[in-house]
Amino acid sequence: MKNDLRVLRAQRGWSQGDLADALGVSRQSVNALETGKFDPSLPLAFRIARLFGKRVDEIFDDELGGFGKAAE
Amino acid sequence: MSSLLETALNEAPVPSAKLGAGFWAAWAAGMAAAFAAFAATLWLAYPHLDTFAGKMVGGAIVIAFTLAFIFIANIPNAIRRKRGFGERMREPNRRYMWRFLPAMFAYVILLMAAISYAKAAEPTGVIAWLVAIAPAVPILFAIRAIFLLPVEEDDEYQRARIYSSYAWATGATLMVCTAAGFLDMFGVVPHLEMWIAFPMWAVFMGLARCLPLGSVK
Repeated sequence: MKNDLRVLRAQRGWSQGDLADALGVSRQSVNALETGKFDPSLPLAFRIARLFGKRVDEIFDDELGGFGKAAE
Repeated sequence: MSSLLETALNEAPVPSAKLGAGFWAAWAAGMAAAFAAFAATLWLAYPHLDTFAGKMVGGAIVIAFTLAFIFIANIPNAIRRKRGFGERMREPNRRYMWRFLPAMFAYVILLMAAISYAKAAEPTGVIAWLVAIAPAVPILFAIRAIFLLPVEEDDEYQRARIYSSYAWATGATLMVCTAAGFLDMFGVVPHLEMWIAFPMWAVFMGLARCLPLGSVK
């Protein structure tokens, strides 16, 4: 699943390790999430969204038409 | 080895996660030297392995060199950590190591003791059973450690990686053991000992860890 994690993280000047600490996950997890190798569970996706003050569908894109984006 | 560590630390002009080519050359040389020392020690110890004391010393040599290899393998990350870059071993992994390593060391010692006792005393009945099962018991504890790792792992990505490697290893081991079992039954291959299953599983698991996670979706 595509996501904006890397951009959001860079905007805040955080390293992968900083983001990992903020989320309570391993740095390898952050790397796997950013590169799209691993899709987070729903609880982790909500933690990520809350951390960046966004909705889950504003960060993650399932590339199936984006009906979540229609509300923007 | 600790002087090598200190030299590498003192020579680092700017803190960096990257270790120099000189460091890696020294590290590889250290690892090769440890392997050579291990091989030489085993070669020297080999003629004395038929006595009980010889077997115990042999077991101690294996354990000591295993610890040395783990120590050397950890030096790069120890240096990175001193510079503020490396990562500490995560708690589930630390618990796994403290369960798995003592179990394997107990296995080495019990195996040596059981072999020399069985040869010397030629026990029968219940004693023979106990002596025969003794080396397997620590292996059961090692297997317990392996399966507690993903249960205790609190990072969902790491947990997914561990479980997928276990799935690969289990599938591959069952395939090889099934095929080998029938080949054995028809007498076309030499008899395979059943204890082979666990080390075989461990090797497949290690190989599966190198695969990207997506390959088991």
